[in-house]
Amino acid sequence: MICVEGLSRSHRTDDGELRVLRGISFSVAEGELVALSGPSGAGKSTLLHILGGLDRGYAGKVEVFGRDLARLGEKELGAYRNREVGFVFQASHLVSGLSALENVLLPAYFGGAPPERTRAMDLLARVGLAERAAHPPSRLSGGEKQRVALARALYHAPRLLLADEPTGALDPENARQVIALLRDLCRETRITAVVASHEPEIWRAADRHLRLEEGVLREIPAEGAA
Amino acid sequence: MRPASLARLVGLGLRRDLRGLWLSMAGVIAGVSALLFFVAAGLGTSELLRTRILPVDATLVEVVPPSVSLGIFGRVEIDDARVEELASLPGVRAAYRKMRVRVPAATRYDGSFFGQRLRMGVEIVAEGVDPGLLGEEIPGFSEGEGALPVVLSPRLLEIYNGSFARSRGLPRLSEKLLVGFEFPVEFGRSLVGSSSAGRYPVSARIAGFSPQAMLEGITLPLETARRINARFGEDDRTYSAVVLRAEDPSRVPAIVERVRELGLEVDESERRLVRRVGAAIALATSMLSLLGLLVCALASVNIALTLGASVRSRAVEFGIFRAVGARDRDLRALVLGEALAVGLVGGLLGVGLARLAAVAADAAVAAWLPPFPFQPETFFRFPLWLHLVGVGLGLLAALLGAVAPVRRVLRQDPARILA
Repeated sequence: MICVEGLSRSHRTDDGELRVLRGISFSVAEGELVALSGPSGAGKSTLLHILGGLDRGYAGKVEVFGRDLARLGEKELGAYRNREVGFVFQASHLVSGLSALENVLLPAYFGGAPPERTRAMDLLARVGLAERAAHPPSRLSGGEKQRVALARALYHAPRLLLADEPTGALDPENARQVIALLRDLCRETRITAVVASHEPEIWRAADRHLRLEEGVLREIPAEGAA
Repeated sequence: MRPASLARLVGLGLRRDLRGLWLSMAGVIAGVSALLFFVAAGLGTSELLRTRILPVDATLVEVVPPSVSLGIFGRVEIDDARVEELASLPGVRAAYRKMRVRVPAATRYDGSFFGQRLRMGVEIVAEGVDPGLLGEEIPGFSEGEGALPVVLSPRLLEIYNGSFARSRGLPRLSEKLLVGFEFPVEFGRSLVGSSSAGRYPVSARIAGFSPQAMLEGITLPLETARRINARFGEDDRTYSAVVLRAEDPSRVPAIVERVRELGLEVDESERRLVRRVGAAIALATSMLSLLGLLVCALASVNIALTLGASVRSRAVEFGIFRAVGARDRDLRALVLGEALAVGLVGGLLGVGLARLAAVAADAAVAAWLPPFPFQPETFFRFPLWLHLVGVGLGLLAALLGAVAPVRRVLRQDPARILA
C-alpha cells in the first residue's frame, strides 16, 4: 500500500544544507491508522508532503498504491492529490470567502465531475456541522474549522488520509472531539491514514506508532506490547 | 477545471482586493478610452475630408495639356482626336471633355435675395463639361434657348452657408431652394475692364448641384462654353481637360502611365491635397493614439503589480488549491481569468467612456463654436472593428500584465507554504 525505501530529503538554508530525512524506510498496510510523532522540525510535515505528492525534491523510492510517485507526471500527480489523497493541516487552511459547504466542495472544483452538494452536506452532517453549511470560516470556531477541513479531505473518498498536527491549534476539548472523529472515520471508511501528532491519545488510537527524530524513523511498540 | 468552478474562484479572487481591482481597471479604462477617442476622431475627420471637404472619386483621372511644351514638337493639345485616343485606352470606361470659357465674366447682383437686400459684384470663372460627368442627369442642363443652365458645387454652397452668409447676415440656403434661381452674368467683362470683342450679357439659372462641378465658378454645358468662346473669337476646338472614368480604381495607375506616355499631364492637385491633409490627420491621430497605447502599457504594468501583490498575499490559498488537486493549468487559468476579467470589463468601460467623451466633444463644439463650413454632426466615427479593438486591447493589456503573476504562482512551493 505505502512502501518507502531509502527516503532522503534535504533543504538548503542560510547555514548550508539541512538533511531532514536520512534514508528512512517503512511501509503501511491498507486500512492502517499510523501515528507519526517526533519533535518539531524532525521532518514529519516533510514526510507527509512527500506522501501526498506536494513535495518531489526527494531521493529514494516512494510507492503508494503500487505507483512510484517520482514517475507520475504533473497531470497524474494532480489527479492523485485530487482523488486519492485527503490532507488535513494544523491550521485548517479553509478558503475564506467560501462557505463551509463550498470549502468541502473545493476538491470538486479541480476535478472533472460536477460538485456533489449532497455528498458535501452528508460529510458536514457526519462531522456535526450540517447547520453551519452556509457559514464562512470566519464564523466557525477552531474545532469547527478543523472538522470542515476533515470533511473536505474526505470529499472524494480518498484511499489515503494525511493529517499534519490536526489538533495542534485546538484547545483540549476540541482536540478530543477531532481525535475521536478522526479515529471513528478511519474505522468506518477503512481509509489508510498517517497522522502526525504530539497527542498521546492519537498514538493510542493508532494501529502503529512511528517516531521520527533527527531524520531517522523508528517504530514505537504499542503500549502493553512485549 | 469546469467553467462554473473557474468563474466562482475567479470571482472570489477578484473580491479579495477590490481596491487593487479598481486601480487595475482604471488604467485599462483610461488607456482604451484615450486610444479609441483619438482613433475615432481621426477616422471621423478623414471621412469628413474625403466625403465633404475634398471628395475625390477614385475612378476619375483628370488629363490636362502639359504645362511646359518642347517647341520643336509643337504644343500638345487636347482636341477631339486626342479625346478619342484617350477614351480608347485600356481600362477607360468613358471620357468627359471640359472647356474653360476663355473670356472674363462677372456678375452684378442688385436686388432681393431670399428676403434680404443684396448688392454685390463678383468675377466668375466658367467651364463647360460633358453632362455625363455630373453623374445623375440634371434636368435642363443642356444648350438651348433661354437662361444659361449652370451647375454649382455643393462645397460652394457649404462655404456660403458656413462663412459668407453668416458674415453678411444673409439667409442660409439649401440646394432645393436654390434650384431655379436666376442671376445675371456678363461674359466679356470683368470688374476692371471689358473684352475688345464686346460684351455678352445673359441670365444664368441654377439647374442643380454636383460634386463634379467646379468649386470656384459655374459649370455650363460643354456646347454652351464652346458657343461663347466662338462668339468672342477664342479657341473653341481644344479642351482644357478631359476626365477619364476608369473601369475600377485598380486600373488608374496604368491609365495615368499611358496618359503620360502620350505627352499629357494628370491634374493631381486635389488628390495630392487630400493625401497631404489625410497624412497630417493620420500623423496627428497616430501620435495621440500612441498616448493611449502608452497608457495601456502602463495599465499592463499596473495589473502586473497589483495582481502580483494579490497572488503573493494568497500564497496559502494557492497552496490549498494544490493540495486538493489543482494542476499548473488550473492555477494559470485562475490568475489569467482574474486578469482577463479586469481587461474585459475595463475594455468595455473604456469603449463606453470613449463614446461618451465623443458625444461630449461634439456637444461642446456645437455649443461653443460658431457654425463653420463643412461642420459635421459628429467629428467621430466608431466602426464595429474599433469597438472590438478597444476590448481586445483591454484583454491584451491584462494578458501581458498577468504573465509575471502566473509565473510567480507556478513557482510557489506548496509544501513550504503549507508547512
